[in-house]
Amino acid sequence: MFTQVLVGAIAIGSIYGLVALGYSLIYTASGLMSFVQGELLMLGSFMGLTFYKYLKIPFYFALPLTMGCLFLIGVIIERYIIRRLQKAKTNLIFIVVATIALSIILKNFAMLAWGSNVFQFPPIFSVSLLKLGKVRIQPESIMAIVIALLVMIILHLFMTKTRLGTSMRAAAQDPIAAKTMSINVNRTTALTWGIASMLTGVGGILIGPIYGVSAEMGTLIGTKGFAGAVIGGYGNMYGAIVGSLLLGIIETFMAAYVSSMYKDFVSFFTLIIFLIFIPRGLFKGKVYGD
Amino acid sequence: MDNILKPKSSSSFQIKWIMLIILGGVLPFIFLGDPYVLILLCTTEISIIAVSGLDILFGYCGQISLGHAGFYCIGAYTSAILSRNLGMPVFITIPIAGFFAMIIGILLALPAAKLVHHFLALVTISFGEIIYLFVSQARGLTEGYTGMNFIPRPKIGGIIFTSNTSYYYVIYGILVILLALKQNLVASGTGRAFVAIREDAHAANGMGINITKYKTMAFAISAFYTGIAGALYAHLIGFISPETFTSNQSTLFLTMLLFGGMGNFWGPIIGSAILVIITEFLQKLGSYQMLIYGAILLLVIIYIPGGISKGLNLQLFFKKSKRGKIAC
Amino acid sequence: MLKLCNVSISFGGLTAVDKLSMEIEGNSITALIGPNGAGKTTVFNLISGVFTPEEGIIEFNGRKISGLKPYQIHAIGIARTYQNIRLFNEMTVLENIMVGQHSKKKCGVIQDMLRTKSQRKEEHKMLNNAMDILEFIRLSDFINEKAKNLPYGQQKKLEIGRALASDPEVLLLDEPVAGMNATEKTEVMKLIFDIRKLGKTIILVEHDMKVVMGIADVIYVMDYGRLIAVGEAAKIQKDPIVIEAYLGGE
Repeated sequence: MFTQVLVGAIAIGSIYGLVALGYSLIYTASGLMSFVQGELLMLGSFMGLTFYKYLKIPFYFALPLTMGCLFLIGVIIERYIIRRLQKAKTNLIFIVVATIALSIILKNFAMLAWGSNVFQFPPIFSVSLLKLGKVRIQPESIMAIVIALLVMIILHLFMTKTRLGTSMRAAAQDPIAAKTMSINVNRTTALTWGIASMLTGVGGILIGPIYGVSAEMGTLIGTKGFAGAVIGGYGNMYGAIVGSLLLGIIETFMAAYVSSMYKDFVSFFTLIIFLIFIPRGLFKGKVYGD
Repeated sequence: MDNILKPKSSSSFQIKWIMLIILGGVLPFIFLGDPYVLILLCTTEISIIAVSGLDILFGYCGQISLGHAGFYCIGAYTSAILSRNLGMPVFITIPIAGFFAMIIGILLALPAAKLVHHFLALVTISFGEIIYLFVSQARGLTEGYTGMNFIPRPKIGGIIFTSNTSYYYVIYGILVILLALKQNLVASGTGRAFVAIREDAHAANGMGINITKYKTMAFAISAFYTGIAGALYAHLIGFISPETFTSNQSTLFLTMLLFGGMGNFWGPIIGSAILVIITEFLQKLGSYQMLIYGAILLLVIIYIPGGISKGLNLQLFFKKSKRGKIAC
Repeated sequence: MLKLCNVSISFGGLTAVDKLSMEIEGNSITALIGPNGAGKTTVFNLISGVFTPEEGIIEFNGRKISGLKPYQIHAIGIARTYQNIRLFNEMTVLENIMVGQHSKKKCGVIQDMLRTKSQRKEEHKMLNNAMDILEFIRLSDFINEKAKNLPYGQQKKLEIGRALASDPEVLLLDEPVAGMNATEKTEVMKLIFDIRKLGKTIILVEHDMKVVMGIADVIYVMDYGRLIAVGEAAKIQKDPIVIEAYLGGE
């Protein structure tokens, strides 16, 4: 039983981690919290569903395809909304509200299109349940962990070992200095948003097979991704992963051993406690103004 | 020097107050007391109060609140429970509801005053959600998802304000008083302290303003206004349920404020009036409603950042400011 | 009357101010100079309460003020301007000055909302006081202009006016003539002399040596967070350690 719960916890924690990573990336690159990540995850989920179930595209194509689409959407949002507002010297908080508005539009659009139904992913593997001794695990959970891990490793390598990744980090830390090094800050910022959206899209297509797809899934997961990012230290990428895993573990074990009714309460509560008492999180992100 | 430099409020005193009082006074008659229209008018008045509260916190003091429906909810349920379950007179329960909301506002300010921007946004969102979760789950107190009905109208002497027109004027009186208090506030030293915090909190601190104290004050006053609005709403419709007090309502208040314009007298009024009308038309369209609000919000931020009132330069139109003219 | 005793503070392992001691006399004009990064603005931040010293104490008129918050220090009578202008941009010139008087305000929020008689009287008094300050700093023409619309030189003056508004005993001016042309600089120099005539004490951080030598009674020179020289203008100009600090390492 314990192993089962643990696997489930790590699986969901990894997905929160992908969302939280997205938040941290955007925060580091643009200095703001984007509230649209949750809905992008939902979009990723629906896209993955459409590609795999309705267009019968094999899963190993559907995944990168979804990633590509979400990447584009992220770039478009940055280029046409965020950058435009930044150019107009709009106050930071309004840009944040703009992302909230965007998330409302996306969510309600989805609700109009697909209603409140929960859609099921057709099985991706030929076995619906892996049996290892007494332990029963959904292969989709293992897949979620593996792919999430893979994505994070690739991201880490990209950010630290490639020229483009390093330019992105430089541009995020100090855009003006970066410009003097002929780094195209506009491009790197757009890239960052694209990657952040892509990560969250991956999260969507990974969680769909485990919990189903619905128009309302984005809000809750988005909040949990926030919690993970805050717990780990907002803006800190490794913190985001650790914080999210922690959250996934607390939440899942709570649900398994105590009561599943208060599962969501737990995340909320943890988020608030951290915001009140440890706003900089475990790994010291930036929180206060000025 | 006296006639040159009057404090903000009195130089435009005549015009905007006369307009408001006359306009507000005759509206019910224009619509021949049609009860359905009167509900809309009452809703508009209530929204103006709630949004004015948000304006004080966000427009003037610069502290974002994405969970203001929480105060609306607290005001509504407090007044409903006290008046319906405990039989207290409505004219007493409404102010109590306002003060209770204010206390919660002060409590929220404890963590919130230390946070800015997105973190503040997160905390206020969480606040709104928690209030919603509370009233949904605390069935013994609030009857949960079923909601509370038979919430009474106010009563004085033997007169019950049953007709929507009569209740309209009750709200109207409260509205005018609250707006006047708000105008006094923003033209005063406290109002300036709020704006200073919004403009540059660091420098405001350096100029002698206790940031924590004033932010808490802003939260408190804002919560009071929105709490009163919630109470008035409860007695208007006679029925409340958690569904009214979700984050959608917080978004609606914010949209009204941004649309109408922040940090001025007419902004909350215009924003509320227009959006209440839009809401009515969208009633039939269900889910399209929130979609359109989201779109309005986004469009306002991108294209009309100051809101309608600034866009149309209403302030200059009404403000017969003599302050600019100095004898050379 | 303002004393710093062995004040130190470091940030992330880097010592910004290292056992600094200063003694400022009443009604004097003291200048704090030194190469970039010497820690001058940090000293201002320490005095005005933005930072609390890790070592040492700061005393004002015999009372320990290190550890107090900025708004408390303002109330005691020390006001400042900022190196990068920090005006309340959307407020008018007049309103900026009136905010400067906040520490002197006695009426509370309830009186403000009810506009009681005493509140109106106090507002009126603050208004007149603000007008006087504006005349003193020669910005009366701009009273209803938003601070953000003012030209740079006037903005710098407005910051000084705002600091003066609460009638403080001590003024900390952080690079009051930075970026100004010769005429504006002369005007500000005269303004500082006028402020001294009011009985106030001024401490300024400044890079323009002509201005510093022209108005300062006492000059403190800092480098790498430490005090390297102190004295009158003539003496400092000839001090080899000071010359070394400015020329070496550049």
